[in-house]
Amino acid sequence: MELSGALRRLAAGRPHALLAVAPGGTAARLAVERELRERGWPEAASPADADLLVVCGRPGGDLADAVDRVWAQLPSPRVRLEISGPEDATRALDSAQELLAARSEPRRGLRPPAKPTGGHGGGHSQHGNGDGEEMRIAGLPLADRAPDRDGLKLDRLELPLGPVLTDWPAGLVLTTQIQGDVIQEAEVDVVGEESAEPFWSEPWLRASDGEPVTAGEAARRRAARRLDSLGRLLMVAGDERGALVARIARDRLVAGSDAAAVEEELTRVGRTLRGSRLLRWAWNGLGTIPAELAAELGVGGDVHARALRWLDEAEAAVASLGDEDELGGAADDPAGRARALLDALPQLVAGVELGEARLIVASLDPDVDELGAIPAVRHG
Amino acid sequence: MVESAPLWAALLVPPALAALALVAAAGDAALGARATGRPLTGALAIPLRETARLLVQQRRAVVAADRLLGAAGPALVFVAALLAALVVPVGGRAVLDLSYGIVWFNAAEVLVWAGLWLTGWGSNSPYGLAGGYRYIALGLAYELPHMFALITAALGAESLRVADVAAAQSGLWFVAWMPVAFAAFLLSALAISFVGPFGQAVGRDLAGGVLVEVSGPDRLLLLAGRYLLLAVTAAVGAVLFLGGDSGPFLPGFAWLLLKTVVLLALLVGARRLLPVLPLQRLEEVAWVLVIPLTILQALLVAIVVLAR
Repeated sequence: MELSGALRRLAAGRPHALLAVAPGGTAARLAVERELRERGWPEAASPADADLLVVCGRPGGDLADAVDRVWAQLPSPRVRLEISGPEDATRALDSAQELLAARSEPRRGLRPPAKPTGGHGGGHSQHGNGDGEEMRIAGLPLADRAPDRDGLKLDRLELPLGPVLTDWPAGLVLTTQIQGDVIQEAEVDVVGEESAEPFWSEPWLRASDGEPVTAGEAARRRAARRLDSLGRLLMVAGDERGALVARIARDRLVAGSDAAAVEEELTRVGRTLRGSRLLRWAWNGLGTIPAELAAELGVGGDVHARALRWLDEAEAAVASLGDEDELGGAADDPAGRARALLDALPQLVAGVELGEARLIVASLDPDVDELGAIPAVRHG
Repeated sequence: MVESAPLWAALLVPPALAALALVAAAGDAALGARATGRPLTGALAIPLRETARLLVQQRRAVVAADRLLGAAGPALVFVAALLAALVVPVGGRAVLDLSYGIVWFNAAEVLVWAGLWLTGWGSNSPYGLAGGYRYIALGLAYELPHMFALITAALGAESLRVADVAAAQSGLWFVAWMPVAFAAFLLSALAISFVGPFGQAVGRDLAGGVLVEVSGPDRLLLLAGRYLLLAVTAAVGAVLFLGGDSGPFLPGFAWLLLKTVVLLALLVGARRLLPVLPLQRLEEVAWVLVIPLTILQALLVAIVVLAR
């Protein structure tokens, strides 16, 4: 017991954290990600890899159930944290570390949950085998068969992407039907959006409420948002180092640093995205949006082109951080934009390999929080 | 000329390989710390912290998972690396001095395929399964050039005995006249160890892929097995292409260690240098470029051997 105590204390020096982000939890997520990076604690890729479940924001409804199911999948020793605002992050992570070092739980095999943890809710009766009674193993439906793109009959599995998934938009659930590792079709769902306040479009919404907001303040938020999306995209693509650089710049902007403080980071991200011939070649043609859809959405090209556009926008926004003019002019419609992106997702990921689908979603990065945003008042 | 080492030498193989693997893991952690501007001193403890973490962590089970295969997979990766190390001659002596040592080494590497696939399959998760698919596709594309590279070295020495290949380089290291085979060997070593640009099987886009449901001691076996594999591949690379333990002044053992550490540093460094690349692109590179080049290299070496 003495030995396992010593091992536990050694291990608690670097716990792995799994983030479960609720809509409206963006500010908390940013604070947690920053705190984790500064402590050198890795972000877990799945519940099996996690010691901490860090719930950012306040999950409601179906999302709360999903978070509970994920929590049941974490191996012990484990600690669950609820972080509703950015100010809680430091203290909560400190106390989690102490708990991990001290906690001694009986070591037994983790019991599998009584109910399958995959999908959520019913409504998929077409997966029965026709005579009304589904074949089941341990409570799980068997994979059904369906023709694939080559005209063969192959097993077909339902795989929900989200809502608790790393580097994934908060509250988004993409219920996919996969054959092998190729998505045949997908449905979009949004969970836990009740009390969402859109963090990224906050300056515009405040301005439309008549509050005085400078253009520089809005530019700061936009630059941080683009860097956040870029960081997420790079993370999904497996470039953890590039992602960290983008996030360092993002966090400095959120904390109120000036343009000079993020210059070096922006240059480094630019070198990764623009300068790397390897990346250009690797991402070429990946996740291309068809022209007619691109016109409708206002974003087009392939994953690489979209990343470059984000980078351009981030750089332009950083250049106008000092703009003291009042934010005015034509404000856009964040809710409509988010809705259009979400509606387009099933079409974009159909027939695409899982990894490419992740890149497509990350390269569009729809913000579920904005769905509830009141369309900004257009003046002058 | 070469004789089998006494049996007790087999007991030295795991700690020696583990020490190399630990150095590699610490080096990797240090590179990671440098990239994020964190102090290097803390980074060196990371492999130890991770080991402790996984030792005290609970094993997981998933509904209807194949527990036997799911647990056998990680163990197989670990054991395969140790088996591969048995044929490496140190100071002119290998624990297993087989006349087909190179085939043994390659067969042990192929066990890693099985190990990883079984782990992904055993998890009963679409992510794990998709990770397994990715590894099989990648393994096939890079196992072929790996085999051609091994065969080229064996051709040059006209023997499949590892120690004979080392001895055949007393005049000129093989890397000098079969550089393509050497480069292909290192590249495919990265692919077989699923690290760096070849990390799709355990990618974040698949929530960890093959590793999605693996926790505790199983995860430790698999992740440690990966470093053991890198270490043993570096050692074999040093023997087959860099003249093994030949070198002036220092004893043979020291030369082999030095060359192995240099190759290991190269492999670990390459891991950080490049991001994970889309699998379909890597397949292109293997089938269109690397495989034809390694066949050409083997042909060239064969002609030289016949002509001399």
